[in-house]
Amino acid sequence: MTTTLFEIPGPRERRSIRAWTAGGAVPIIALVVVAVVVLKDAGLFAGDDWAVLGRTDLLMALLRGVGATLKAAAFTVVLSLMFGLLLALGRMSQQRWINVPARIWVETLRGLPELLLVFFIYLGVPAATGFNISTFWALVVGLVLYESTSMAEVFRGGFLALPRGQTEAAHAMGLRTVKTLRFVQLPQVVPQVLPSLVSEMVRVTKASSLGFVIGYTDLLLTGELAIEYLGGEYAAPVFAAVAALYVVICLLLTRLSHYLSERLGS
Amino acid sequence: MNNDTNMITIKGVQKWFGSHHALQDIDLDVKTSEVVVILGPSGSGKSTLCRTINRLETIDDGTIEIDGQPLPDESASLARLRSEVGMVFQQFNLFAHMTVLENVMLGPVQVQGKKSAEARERAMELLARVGVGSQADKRPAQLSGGQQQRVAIARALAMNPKVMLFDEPTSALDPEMIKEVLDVIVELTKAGMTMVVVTHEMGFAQTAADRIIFMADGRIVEENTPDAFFSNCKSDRAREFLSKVL
Repeated sequence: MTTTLFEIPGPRERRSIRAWTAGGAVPIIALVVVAVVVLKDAGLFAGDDWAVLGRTDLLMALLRGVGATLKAAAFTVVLSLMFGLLLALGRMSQQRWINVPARIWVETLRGLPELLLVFFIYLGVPAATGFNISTFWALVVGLVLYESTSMAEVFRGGFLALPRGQTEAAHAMGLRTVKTLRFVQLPQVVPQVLPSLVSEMVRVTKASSLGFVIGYTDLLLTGELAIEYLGGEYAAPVFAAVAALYVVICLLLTRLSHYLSERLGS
Repeated sequence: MNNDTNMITIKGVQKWFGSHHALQDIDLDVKTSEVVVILGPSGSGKSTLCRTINRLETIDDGTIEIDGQPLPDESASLARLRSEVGMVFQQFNLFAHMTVLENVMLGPVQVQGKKSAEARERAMELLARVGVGSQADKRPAQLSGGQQQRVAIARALAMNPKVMLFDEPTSALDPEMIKEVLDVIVELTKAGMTMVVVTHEMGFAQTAADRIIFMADGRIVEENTPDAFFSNCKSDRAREFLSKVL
């Protein structure tokens, strides 16, 4: 299926596009060059500082940070997908005692900052129950409370986009709610919403960095602690490494989702 | 077990869509093996009536009985009844993510608990009967409209229904494909299936129907045999309608 936002360009427009592309590249390259020169003069690319990235202990710490981030992200993604689907189904239910609370829940939680929810769990659970919740679980639960509502909205959009006739044909055959979901609706809704779900998962992975606020040693906090330990002059290389690691993780996630969507689509 | 031969009994049915009185005082009996064709202008309520029979539309007053059993309101009993009433939709509504064969097998396996092998055999039989046996492993999107609708008929027949409902089965088809679908439906009438068909195909109505129901503005205006209806209809409304379509 092709979606065209613009018309296919004619010869004049093609020449114009080529000219603008070449012409547009020049100021961009110029900006990059200027930025590099300025930062270089400010000493950001001093070789000795960047050599710190060769230290094994730093690299091991950063890798542990990656592991911690991935662990938090994985748990959050799986749990928020599950609860998100349940919430979506609750919101679409015909029974008012289910869909009204579900709607209130979703609309309240979507209005709250994730960090607030993480703090609320981290400080509130011990205060209310005396149970000292770990930073990991405070982070995961806090994030899931918010993310499940995002996933719920994504699922709900997918269900609304599914042609009504598919569900009617299933019901007309005698298929009940659970089987209709399993055999007719979800197999069509999930591939449809997969791109949105993936972008949510990428966001969740980055949101896990909020854990540093409550002391969960994810990748970001590891980076900060490393700089405190090694010295402020190493801020640039360490943060650059942290950023590169985040980008790699997110790229791999996107890769994974493309692979999954191909498998589901077949 | 019921003693009278009415497969479908509709009494005093009323339905409103907001303030629009979509179905007014509907009384209709359909005997076993009878073929009832519902004709009428758009907005007359004929599709709505057809869809109330398997409760895809609810009614606000009156009763509907199928094979002596009142139409249930919900859950397992409704699902069970729906599995005995086959429906063919104007838009085919084949499950887009499944092959043709899987479409026809889903009901028997998941609703009636049949074994996969048995369901597959029966499905292939039905697909061959409607003339699309060679398309079994294709997706619905790869088939023409006429082929898709025939698959839809096979899918409904796979459930061994007591009644078949057809909601404008050929209205979304290109003209050259209408005949192949009507031929399948006519073959079903000859096999003794109880059928309610909402259609605009006058030729089909004239030759295949046992009884014509003419609806307008939510009411049943006239009821007659095809010969009587088409040659000498009683009501002005029906006469007006026929003058425009024949």
